[in-house]
Parts: sequence; structure tokens; C-alpha cells
Amino acid sequence: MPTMVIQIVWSFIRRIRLKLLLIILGCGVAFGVLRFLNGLGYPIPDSPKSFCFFGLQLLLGLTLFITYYSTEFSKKVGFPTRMYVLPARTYLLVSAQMLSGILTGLLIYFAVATMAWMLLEMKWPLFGPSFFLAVFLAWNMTIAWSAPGLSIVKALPAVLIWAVLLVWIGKRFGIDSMPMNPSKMWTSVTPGELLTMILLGVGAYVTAIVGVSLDRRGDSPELAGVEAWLEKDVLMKRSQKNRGFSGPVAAQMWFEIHTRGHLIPIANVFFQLVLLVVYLCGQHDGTGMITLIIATVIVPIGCPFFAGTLAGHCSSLHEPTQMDSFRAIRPMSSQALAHVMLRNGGLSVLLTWSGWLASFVLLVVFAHIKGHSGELFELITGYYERIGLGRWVFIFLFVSIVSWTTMATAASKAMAGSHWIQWLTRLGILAVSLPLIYFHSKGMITPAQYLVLIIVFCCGVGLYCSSRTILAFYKARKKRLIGDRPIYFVAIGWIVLCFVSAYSFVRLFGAGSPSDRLPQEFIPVYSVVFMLAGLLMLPFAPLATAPLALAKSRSH
Amino acid sequence: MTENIIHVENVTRCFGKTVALDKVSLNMTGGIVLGLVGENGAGKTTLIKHLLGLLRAREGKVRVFGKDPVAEPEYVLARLGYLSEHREDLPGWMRIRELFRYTRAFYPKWDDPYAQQLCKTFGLDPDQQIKTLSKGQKAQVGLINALAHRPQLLLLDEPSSGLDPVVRHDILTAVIRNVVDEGRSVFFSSHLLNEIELIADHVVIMHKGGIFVDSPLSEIQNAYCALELHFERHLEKLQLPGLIWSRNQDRQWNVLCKADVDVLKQKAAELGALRIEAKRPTLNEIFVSSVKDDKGGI
Repeated sequence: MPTMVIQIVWSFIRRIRLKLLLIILGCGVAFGVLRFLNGLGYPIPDSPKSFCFFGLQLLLGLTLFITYYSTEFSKKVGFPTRMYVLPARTYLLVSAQMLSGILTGLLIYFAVATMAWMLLEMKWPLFGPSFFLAVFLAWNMTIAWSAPGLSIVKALPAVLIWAVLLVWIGKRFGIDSMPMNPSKMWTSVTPGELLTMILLGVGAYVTAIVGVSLDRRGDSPELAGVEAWLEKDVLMKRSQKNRGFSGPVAAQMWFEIHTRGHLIPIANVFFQLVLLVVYLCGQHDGTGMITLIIATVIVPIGCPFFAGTLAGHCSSLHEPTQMDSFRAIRPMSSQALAHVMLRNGGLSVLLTWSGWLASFVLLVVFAHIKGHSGELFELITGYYERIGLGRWVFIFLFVSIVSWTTMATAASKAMAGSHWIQWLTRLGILAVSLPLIYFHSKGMITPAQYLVLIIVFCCGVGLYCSSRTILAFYKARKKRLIGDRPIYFVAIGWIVLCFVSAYSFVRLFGAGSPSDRLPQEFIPVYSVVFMLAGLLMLPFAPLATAPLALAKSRSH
Repeated sequence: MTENIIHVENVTRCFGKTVALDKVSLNMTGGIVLGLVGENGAGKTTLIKHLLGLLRAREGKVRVFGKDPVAEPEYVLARLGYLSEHREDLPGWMRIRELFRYTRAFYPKWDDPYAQQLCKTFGLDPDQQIKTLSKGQKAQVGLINALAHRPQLLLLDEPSSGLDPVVRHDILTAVIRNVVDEGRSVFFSSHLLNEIELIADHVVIMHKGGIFVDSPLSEIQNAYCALELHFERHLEKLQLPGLIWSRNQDRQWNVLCKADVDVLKQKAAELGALRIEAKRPTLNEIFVSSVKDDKGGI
């Protein structure tokens, strides 16, 4: 039996070995860049802050990563059923799978903490976070494997467990005053903490054995009453009301929303619920609470990328580089199909923003009840008065355009399925930027050379964005994926956007803006304008790149 | 003259070093059942994917209804119904009713009563979720989904895989023949040669990425002959025209030849055969004996 456990652990690690290596290498590159910048005189946060910033993100990221790979996500959220036919008792299967996840998580954490220590002399604590990670992972796996019913129902106990554990760790690290100001480091583990974590770990293990045993023999409670009510009385009534779709686009939109479009808005609700419980359970002063509320802004800023990546992801299980055949054989043009997928991504972003806004309002109401609203309103009024309504409107429009561009570009890249090109580009940019930063900080670049570099950079960015967009439209037109009229509209839209942006920027930010304080000889105006004109093509580019990418993925 | 609804010309496709299709050329006229057979890895699914436009012909030309399925997918796909060999391609979260409602939006000719009738025939509950169906039931749902918009061309990739014999018979005889009787066409791939023999008008046999046989079924059956011969004495070697396969046991020989039956009988008699029994070989016998040693081909 120990051989089988070793085999399971080994096969788990082997299955994700490349990703494991990439995570460790990615952290190594990030620390290497920080070390390089530190050598040039840029400060690095001290150990408690660095751990709070990197370490906690790593722990949470690892939790999601390991939970995903230890669970049968592609078929159902549960224990991998292929293991049920192995000639072993359930406790052994659970032990092996849980051990695989925990060992992998700890392996990554130790590797990254060692690199942080060697490269940056950041002395992250090992034992406290390791125990915590193990317990956190164990509970996440347990919920994914054992909680009955629909996947969405499993999120409810997960919210509770996340909140309880986060509140508890917050007491150790000062997470209440997140994001960058921990009150202490978890350098030593007290016997009480050790006992608590052991009890929590054993609790997760026993619960997992019971849940997986029930599932293995088909006795898992199905929450039949609730599901039947939800499906028959709510969902079925709704679907029976909708007798038909108005056309292929409406039908495909419905399909896309049900397949992937709902995932980011639901993940946001999950995130907000965790935050709400953390907030309700924790002891907050006014500033801590306001920081918490402002920290939620990460959702509307970050969601377009993830919504776009999910909306554009259309490969099948059998052929990861090709679109799944169910979608591919829809009698729609690649252009129409790509536009539906972009619309789905857009809708996903809007729904996430709405969810965020609702939870933001809810948090403000709670803050009011707790008597902290005065400070919050003062802060908001202060920002409002300093920036002004006009600039707020401009910022909102700017954020909307950037969000659309981010979402649509991510969707196009996901449709093409060529992620390695993006990573190569990023690494290339990094490889070029670092020597330049070095030369600049060492004073090895004269003002004249600096000016030339800025001009080259601006012209390069402008040329890259404009040529890439024009080429995409040319290719799309040649392949009859876009007509002449949309191209005219895009051209007119781009010109209007350039003028509106320039006018608004000069009008709203011209006087007293930071650019006025820069030495004027360092601002080559024409090249900056050229760069901005190129950048403003990017919001339109996905109208051509998305159908091109989709056509490629559809007919490999 | 009947127009070709499928025209494949010199299509070659490689995946790494594996040649999946090797200069494949094929034509299919309307109103017939074309059976595509071949062993695993012969290139059947790759060919079907080219017809659907899921793979682009890098070498050669593919036309379906006279159009390139990659350049004009909406034209081609609107006129054909497809059943994938991967039953799990259907979205598991949908109910059968929802799947039909969704598919109906793409095809103006969707025939709801026909879909319901087939549902009843197969004993499917429209309110059932697809992920809860068995493999065979998923095949039935996929088939209804492909059939109910009455496509001009029905493309079936291993349609009977996972089906019980009764349902398989229903699909093969009732459903597919019905499609052809209405003047439409069926292109279906299978491992099971007895299925092909049962309903196909035209047979294409693929082997190692190439077309091995491309003929009407009757022509194939007439071209081959199986003989059981009894000789007076034991023969070490038997030489007959078009001999593809032979097996002997004492003085009895069983042979498969690609030649005229009368010529064979005459030759066997010349060699001293006392008893000559000729029969029409099954497609399975022709395929297995031909492919085994790479002989034959019409």
C-alpha cells in the first residue's frame, strides 16, 4: 500500500511538474529583478511587508492551484473518480491525494522562501505559514471533494472556511491593516497554535474520508430537495417561458454566458463574501476598514483580463490547441462567433462591476453602522474635490476603454491559444528594459542619448501598435472576416477617439499637471503623440484580431 | 447528372511525422449513403474534420456543396448535420430540451415534431440533463440534434459506438435510410463493416492515410470471390488469378480472389479441384484479408 501512495503522489507531482517549475522560475525571475533594482538603489520592503505582499499572495494562489489540480474540475467538482477503482481503502486514497496537494504546496513555498532569502535576504517565516498552508489546502480539498450538491453550493462552506482561517491568520500577521502594514511576523509557532492547526487538519482529513466514502459508494447526499426546487421551479419555468431565441447570435450568447460568462461574476461574489465575513469577524479601526473597502477596487481593475481570457478560451479537452467541435460546427461565420464571445466577455465584466458596486455599497453601509462612515466620506469628498467631476468622468471613460481593450485583447489571445508568444514578448521587454534602467541609474546616459531613447521607445510603441492593428485589419479583410464598412467606421472612430482624448486631456489635465513639472527638453512631443495615436488603435484591434484568432483555432 | 456534394482533391495532412492523410481524393454524389471504413488511425476522423472545416487543407482542395468549408463555414455547416465520435462534446449542463431549443435557433428548417418523435422512439426524457445520460443515450441525442434540421448531408462519425443492437438497427435502417429516401445524403464512418454492408451504397476504405477502395458496394462485392476448394491430393501451393488470401487444411483450400468467378472455377478445375463452392465474400472478409498484407484495392 505505501507503494501505491507513493505512486499517486508521484503521478500528481509529475502531472503538474512543468507548472511547478514555471511557478518557481517565475518567482525567481521576479526576485532577481527586485535584486537588480535594489542594487541600483531602489528600496525593497522589509521582511514583514514583503511577506505580506508576496507570501500571502503566494499562499492564496497556491491554494487555488493545488485545489484545482487535486480535483476533477473538468468533469465535476469532486474527488477524481478514476481513483475509485483502485484496490485501496478510501482513507488511503484520501491520504494519498491530500498528501500530494500538501507536499506540492509546501515544496513550492519552501523553494520560493529560500529564493527570497538567498536573493533578497527576506527572512520569511517557514513553520507557521507551512502549517497554515497545509491546513488551508486540506480544508479546500475537503470541501471540493465532500460538500454535497452543485458546485455553487460548495462555495458556501468554502466562504466560511476561508473567512475563519483568514481572520485567524490576520491576528498573527495583522491582516486587518492590510495590504502593506503587518503588525508582526509569524516567526515562532506557539503550542496553542500548533494544537489548533493539528486539530483543524485532522478535522479536514476525517471530513474528507467521510465525504469521499459516501461519494465512492454513491451515497453522497444530493441536496435533492433544494436542487429539484431550483431546477424545476426556478430554472425550468424560466426556460419554458423562453420558447425560442431570436436568432443564432442570441442563442450563442446564451450558450457562452452559461458556459463561461458567469464564472468571473460568481468568483467576485465569492471574493466579496469572504471579505464581508472577514470584515464582520475582525476588529477594525476606521482606517483599517477603509483600506479594506478600497482594496476591493482590485476587482473591477483586474477582472477584464480574466473575463477576457475565459471568454476567449474555446479549446476542447481532446485537442487543447483547437476549438471544441460543438462550438466550431455552429453555422456562423468566424466573425460573428468571435463578436459573440467578445460580447460575452464584456457582459461578464459589466456583471462583475455591478456585483462589486453592490458589495461596495454594502460595505459602506456596514461602515456607517459601525460609525466609520465619517472618515470614509471625508476621504471620498477629499478625492472628489481634489480631482473634480470632469476629471472623474475622463478617468471613468479611460478606465472603460482600457478595460475593454484588456478584455478584448485577452480574449483574442485566448482564442488563438498562443500563450507562449505573450510570455516571450514580456520576457523580451524585460530583457531590453533592465539594461536601460541600469545605464540610466548609473548616469551612463547623457541627456541627448536619453532623449533619443525616449523617441525610439515612443516611436517603437506607436509603430508596433499601429502596424499590428493595420496588418490585422488587412488580413481580416483579405480573409473576408470583416467588411469594408466596419473598417471605415473603425477609422472614423479612431480619429474621433484621438481628438476627444487629446482635447479632454489638455483641457482637464493640462494646467498644473505633473507633465508641466518635467524638464521640457525630455518630452519629444511629436513622438509621444505618435505613440498615443498608436496606443489608441488598440481598443479597435480586437475587432480584427478576434475573428482572425478564432478562424485559426476553428480550422487548425 | 448528379452534382458532387463532396469533392476532395489530393489532400495531404501530417501531424508531426505521422501522415494522417496521404493525397486523398474523393467525390460523393447526392442521394446516397457513403460508408467510410478503416482501421484505427487510418485517417477517417481527419478526413471528416476536413469536410467540416475543422482542419484546413494545407495541401490539396476540399469542397462541400461546392464551397470551401474553411472559408465559408456558415454556408456549409448550415446544410449539414454532424454527430461527433466524442459523445462528451455535447454540453453536459444542458437539458435535452434546451439543446434542441438552442440548436433550433441556427437552423430555420428545424423540425420540432420530428425531434420529439425521435425522442419518443429512443425513450428519452427531454427534461433530463445531458451529463446524466448514458453513452448510448448521448449518441441518440447527438443524432437527433444532427437530424432534426433535415440537413442535405448527414455526417456521422462512428454513429453506432455505444449503442445497443436494437437502437443500432433502428438508426441504421429506419433513420439513415429515411434520410436517403428523402433525397438527402449520408456520409458515415464506422469500424463495423457489417453496418456498412447493411446500408451503404458506396464504400470508401481507408488504410494508412490513403484511399484503399472507393467503389459502389455492389461493384466491390462482384469484384471479389471466395472459394472453398477440395482437392484429391494435398497441394503445397495454390496459384489462382487475383489471389489475395488463402488458407489450407489437408486437401481443403479456402481462398479469396479478386477475379471473375467463372475464370476462377475454370482454373480451379484445371488444378484438379473435385468440389468447388463459390460464395460472395463479406465486406469484412475483403477488408481484413486485403489490409492484412496491403494487397488488393479496386
